[in-house]
Amino acid sequence: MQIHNSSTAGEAIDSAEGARAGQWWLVWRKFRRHRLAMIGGFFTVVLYLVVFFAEFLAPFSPDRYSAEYTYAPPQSLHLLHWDSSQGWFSPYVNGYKIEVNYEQGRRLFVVDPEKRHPVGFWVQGDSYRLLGVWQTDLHLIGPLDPAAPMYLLGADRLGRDVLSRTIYGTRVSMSIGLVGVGLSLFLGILLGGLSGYFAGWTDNLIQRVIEFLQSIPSIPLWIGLAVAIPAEVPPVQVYFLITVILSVVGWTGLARVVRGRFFALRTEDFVKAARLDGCSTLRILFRHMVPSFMSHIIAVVTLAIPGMILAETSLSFLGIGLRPPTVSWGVLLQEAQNIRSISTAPWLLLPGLAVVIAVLALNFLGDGLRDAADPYTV
Amino acid sequence: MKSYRLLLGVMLFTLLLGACAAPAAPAGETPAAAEQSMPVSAEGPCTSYQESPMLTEKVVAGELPPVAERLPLNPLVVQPYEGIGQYGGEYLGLYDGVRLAEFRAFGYEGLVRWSVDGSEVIPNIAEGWEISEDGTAYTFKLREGMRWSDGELFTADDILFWWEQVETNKEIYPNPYPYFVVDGQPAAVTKIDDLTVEFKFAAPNGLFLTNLASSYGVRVTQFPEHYLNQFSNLLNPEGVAERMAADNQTEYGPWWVSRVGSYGQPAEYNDPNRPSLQPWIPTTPYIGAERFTFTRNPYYFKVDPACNQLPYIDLRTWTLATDPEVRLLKTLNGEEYFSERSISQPPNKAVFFEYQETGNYRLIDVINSDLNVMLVHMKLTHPDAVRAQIMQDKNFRIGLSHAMDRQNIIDTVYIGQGEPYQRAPRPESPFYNERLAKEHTEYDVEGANQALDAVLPDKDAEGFRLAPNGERFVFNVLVNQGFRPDWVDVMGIVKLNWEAVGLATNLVVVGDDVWRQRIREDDVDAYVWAGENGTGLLPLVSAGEYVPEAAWGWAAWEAVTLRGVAEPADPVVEPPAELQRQYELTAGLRQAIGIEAQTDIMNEILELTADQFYTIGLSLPKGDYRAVNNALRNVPNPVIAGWLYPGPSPANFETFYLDPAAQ
Amino acid sequence: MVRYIVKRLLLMVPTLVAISIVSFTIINLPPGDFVDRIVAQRLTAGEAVTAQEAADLRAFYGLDRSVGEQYVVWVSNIFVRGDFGRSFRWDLPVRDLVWERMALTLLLSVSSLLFIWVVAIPIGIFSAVRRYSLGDYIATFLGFVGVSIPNFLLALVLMFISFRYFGQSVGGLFSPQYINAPWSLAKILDLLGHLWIPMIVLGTAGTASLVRTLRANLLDELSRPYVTTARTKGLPESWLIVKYPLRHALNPFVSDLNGIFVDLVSGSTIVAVVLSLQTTGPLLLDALRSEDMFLAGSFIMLMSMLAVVGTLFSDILLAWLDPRIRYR
Repeated sequence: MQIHNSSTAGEAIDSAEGARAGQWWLVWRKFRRHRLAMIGGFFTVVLYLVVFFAEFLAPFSPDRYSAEYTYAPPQSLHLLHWDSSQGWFSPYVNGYKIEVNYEQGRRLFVVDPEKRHPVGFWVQGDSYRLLGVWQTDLHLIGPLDPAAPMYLLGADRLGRDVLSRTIYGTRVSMSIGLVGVGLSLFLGILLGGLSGYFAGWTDNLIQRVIEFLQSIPSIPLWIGLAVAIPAEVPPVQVYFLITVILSVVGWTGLARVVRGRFFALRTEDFVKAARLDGCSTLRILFRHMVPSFMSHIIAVVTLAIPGMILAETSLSFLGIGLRPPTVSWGVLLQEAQNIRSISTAPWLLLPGLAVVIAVLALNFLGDGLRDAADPYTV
Repeated sequence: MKSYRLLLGVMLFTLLLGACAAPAAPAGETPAAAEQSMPVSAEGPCTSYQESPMLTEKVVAGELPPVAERLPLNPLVVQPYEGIGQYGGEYLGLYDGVRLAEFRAFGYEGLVRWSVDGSEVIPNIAEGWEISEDGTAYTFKLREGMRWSDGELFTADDILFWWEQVETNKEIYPNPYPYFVVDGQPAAVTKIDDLTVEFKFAAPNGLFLTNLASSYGVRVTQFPEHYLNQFSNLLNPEGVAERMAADNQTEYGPWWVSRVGSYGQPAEYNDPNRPSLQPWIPTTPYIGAERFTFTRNPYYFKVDPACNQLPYIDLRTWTLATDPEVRLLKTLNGEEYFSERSISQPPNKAVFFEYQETGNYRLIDVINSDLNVMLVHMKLTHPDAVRAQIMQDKNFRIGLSHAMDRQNIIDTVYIGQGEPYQRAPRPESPFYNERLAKEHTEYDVEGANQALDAVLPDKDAEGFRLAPNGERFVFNVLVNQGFRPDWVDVMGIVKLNWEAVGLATNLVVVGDDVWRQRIREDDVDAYVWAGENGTGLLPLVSAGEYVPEAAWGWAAWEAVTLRGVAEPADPVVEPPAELQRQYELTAGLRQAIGIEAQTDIMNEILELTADQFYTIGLSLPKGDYRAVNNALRNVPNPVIAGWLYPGPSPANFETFYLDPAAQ
Repeated sequence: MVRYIVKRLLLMVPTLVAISIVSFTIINLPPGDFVDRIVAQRLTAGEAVTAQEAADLRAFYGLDRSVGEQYVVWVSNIFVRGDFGRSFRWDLPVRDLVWERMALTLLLSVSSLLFIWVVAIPIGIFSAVRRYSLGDYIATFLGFVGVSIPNFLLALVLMFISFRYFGQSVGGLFSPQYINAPWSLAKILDLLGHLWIPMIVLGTAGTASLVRTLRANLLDELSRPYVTTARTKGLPESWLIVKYPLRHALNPFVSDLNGIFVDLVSGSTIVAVVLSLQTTGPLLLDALRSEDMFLAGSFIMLMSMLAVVGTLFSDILLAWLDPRIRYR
């Protein structure tokens, strides 16, 4: 309510300036005042920075394993501490005392306060190509001794760094997954729109196709696909293909909704007016009719994002989700999906937090954009 | 040579007779069979028997005859692992909704059975047997006065009923199970008298007894004629037609399977009225039930050395839990008294350890009868001639084996539990062959490079080896992540190992549903699988596994040449001479009569395998365990687990008892 | 309208035939058949199946015939005798298997649907009317946490908590000792003790999306001129919302009703798996994976029937809800 009130207060200035300003500037002004949308936008930008600079931001390569540190718990990073050579700011992490216990079937870790592994920023580590071009081995953060253990979010069953894997996972999850959402959004609006706008036999045909798509079983299709994909195809391409197929099958729900809406809208005056003005069908659909239920579309899209990000988890039992060494948040959560992890290594669930943050950020960003673009509300 | 073998056969035959059977043991005397399975029979022959109080009540009420009348004249005496148990209690288990008759947990009662350590075949429902000199005729002696769970006598007619109405009924089984077929000829099963049955084969069937002791042998003694004849289309055509019409079914085979059922079929234990020889019998149909109870069979034929009728436990109750993680939680909560193999995998040990008190269980060690955690099978007869030639070069296989840092893999994935090992019988098996077990297991990058240089000498700029056509040689390995998720981790490291010696490796990770199809595709060069059946006598019944498993062209040659198969599944490729010899030896194993002759052949097979080194192994499985309820006693520690030896059932499940003090 | 319904009913026949043919083909699409699945499954159990045995099994199940032949036999048996064939996996007639599970499935689906609607609609209205209030934020946050965590993982975590901290027997709707027991107060308490896990799992996922979409739709409607008009006429706020905007905001849900019809059979599979419930969802999943053709085929027939009927139902309801919609 607070935000709402303050924005009403600024209305007068708005309309005065609005007379001089362009439409986009107005939208931006309105958007900027939407505090949550700004936060959402900020996180979205951060996530995409992570996508592009994952190798630099991650301390280690995602598949660097270690026999010694399987299921090592998270360490805390001590930033301030007096060191004669470096002064007060000399961050370090504590080492572990490790005992292999066969009776318990695990390694037992105790933080060893005596052992300090100095940590630095802008340090050398595993080498990589930044943005696929520049060969370098610089990392934002990492242990000064590349062999020292540093597991800020703990280690997984092979002693791989969960933090680094989550950072690398952002890349696939925030790119390919979103393409799928976009594609099914487009198909849903287009086909649902045509169905509702023209009605009659167009509607009949599209609706039968929807009934058909909704009742054919997808699992045998996936199994068939899993068998048919040749061994040489890289995992990321397989995943992309799957996403495209998911969206080709997944547009039906939205299409039904759009159609229902269009049935109600097609007789409205503004649609008639646009038609009499000689607007093309697509323009009427996308410029005139769709904006009148933008909130619904934003809600559907944001709700579809986690589904797409995690899509490979539901398919991975067939072996056609993402395959190692490619990581995604879905893969990481899939790996944590057992009692062993939940009970003895709960830090493996942390990638779930990344999904929640991404979805919330995109949702608030979307809400903010919608509000800002809507001429009726303030 | 021939006469020598014959002599050996005779010697062995006498030996077997002396050791295992006394065909005409007079009633009341100490049964020879009992002596066999119970080295120290302190009490001597029983003059009277005790029974569970649960049954005594029924005897008093006149619902059951006294215990002595219910037992056969010479019951099988079983030596419990710890001591004489106590009657009563309810044993809890979980049911995965698929198959109750998992012999590892229920249903292992055949004519013969494995000894507890799996090293020999001992009498069970049959009190003894004779094998003809030429190994073609097996005569089994049944127990006089042995009864089905409804009190009717169990006789040779019941076995004949199984053979004639079930196993050779073409509408149910187009062909009898391979154990009962030699050279394409099914056995002739005849009744000599009420208590004697003969299996006669067209040619020697030297492994028949060993095979019969495995899980599949149970089928012989599952069919009470007096009850099931009403379901036979030959004996009761009108009745069957009526029943089928009532069930709206037209085909006999499917209907029979859904209403009666044989080995491994869900209906097998679904009919509470169907008499059985098992220690526990159903009280209600179980298909579709969320929880169901089996009760003790009042006519069960085994006793302990103190003349107590077995089993000790009165009731067995199963609860449905389909999801493996839910089953794990339920086991941790003490709702399964002997944890299943699929959930007691090494990765879960930490969890099991943590909740021992909550679940009131202890962890016992398990000797896994598997001989290797993971084997790499190469398609040595790959349709691509160049690839086939590369893989057929022994140096290639040796190079890959030496390149694997087995100890590092064992440390990373199996927290150090394991031992570098190839495909070879386990150390405790009589067929242990050290050369085969240990060859090429040391981590030796230099040696690996040398061996590979002999096959693929050229490398590209990035250090990867080139195929003869000048392109990078990529080795495609298929991994099933659904069966053993740890393989994905292992192969991830192996890939790094192999790439370190210049072999570009591509892992094709797939799920359970597709891996079998993917195997057959030409873009797969090798796949990984577990090495099974390594303990006791099991290598003998699985000797065929030592030939290269994924060389289907060679296997087709074997089928055509040695077994007279007209249309093999794959195009025939002639194998090298030493492999032809190995195929012939393996086929000859069945003709060999007696364990010594068989051992000789087996050792030759293993030596040949060691020379050729067809399959790369990783590690001998170690650190296996099971969670066993604290109240459950007489459970051997360690216990052997496996499939052909369906542990823990052969560890005399019927002697397990529940100590009320520990519950 | 009546003409329209009759036309739609007639159209169902070719649609169903097409669906049945295509689904049967698709079920057979993955290479290999049910026998291959058996062989693979037994291999993982440590059992070996010989080629002869596999061929025998194939002949036994009639899988040696062509797919076309199998289809014709199956469909003609349905029409002639109402026989839907046999499940290979369960060695039982399909009819027995499916009907046995149908009652519990419908009960579970309908009650979870009602639960979701009863919880989500008020929250959705509240969120829209009190947009950007604390309550709206909490609903948004919890909702997205709910949709972002895979259902199965959520169920596992909750079960682990109930095992670890409450010492409960997990899975199922009852502790083992109550399963076959007669109803009593203790049994009811036990049921309530188990019910919270499926409630939360179903609730977070289902409720979250309903709350979000309802909120969004109401927002679209609340900014329309007719609402302002109604407000200036002095209509009470609650009546105003329920009378028109809510009615219009329900349009998308009605459009999507056909999906819910399908969900009646296949929905809440995860919950059923976790609880080891004998409903149709896990059975269908399993039938598809193991290429248990007749079982899977019958399921798909049933589901497509529901989808087609559901579409018609939803279209009729759509017209009733919004008088602007007219079919020709």
